[in-house]
Amino acid sequence: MDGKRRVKDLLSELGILPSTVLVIRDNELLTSDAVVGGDDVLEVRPVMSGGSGASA
Amino acid sequence: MAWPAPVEALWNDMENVRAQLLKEAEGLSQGQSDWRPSEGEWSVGEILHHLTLAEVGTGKLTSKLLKDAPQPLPPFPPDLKGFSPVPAPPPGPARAPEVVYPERGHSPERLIADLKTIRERSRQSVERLAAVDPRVLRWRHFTLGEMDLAQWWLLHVRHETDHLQQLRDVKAAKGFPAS
Repeated sequence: MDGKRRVKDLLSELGILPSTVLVIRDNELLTSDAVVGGDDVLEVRPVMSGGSGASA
Repeated sequence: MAWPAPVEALWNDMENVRAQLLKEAEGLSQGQSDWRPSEGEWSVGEILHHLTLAEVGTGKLTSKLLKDAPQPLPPFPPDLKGFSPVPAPPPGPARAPEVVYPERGHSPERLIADLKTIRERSRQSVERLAAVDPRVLRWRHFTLGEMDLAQWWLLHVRHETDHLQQLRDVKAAKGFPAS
């Protein structure tokens, strides 16, 4: 991932509705305005239909 | 006894978001807790009260479904590796139903204590969830349609994460009291 951005912006780039997934970094659930980037390893866990299991 | 992996993950998510919520809420004054960004928006205190009511509701639903289901219930399937996603909501804004509509003016200390108390009860609910096949326990959500018991608890995590963001937005809003 290049640069830093908010979770909701990253999910938008991936075509994922933020309300359909939980985004987790280092065992911490992230809210939609959390800033991620660089070497962050994120788990995107679908909880609602329309979500995606993609890793970012 | 160890819980099945999907239940363990659910509980960890519940605790994870709750820890962040309490971190944001602890130490707030009454004025900060009651402050609204605008008349139509909820205060931090109202968000906390709403989350307590929602968790009480999901706990009551758990008890009801377990009590009313034909016995014996099937055990948690060893091959169930994950829960079904919650149905997608219909488009457009949703308004909280009356039963979880919050009151304003509770003390922040009381709101936090209530959240902690209800979470202890929720642990018992999740414990019971871990012992049965949650897919056979079903109840209709007012906008999402019929969901099984695991989906109700998954929704609880998603719901609390959304309100954690809302709470942070309130605290970051212009005019939020400094103390």
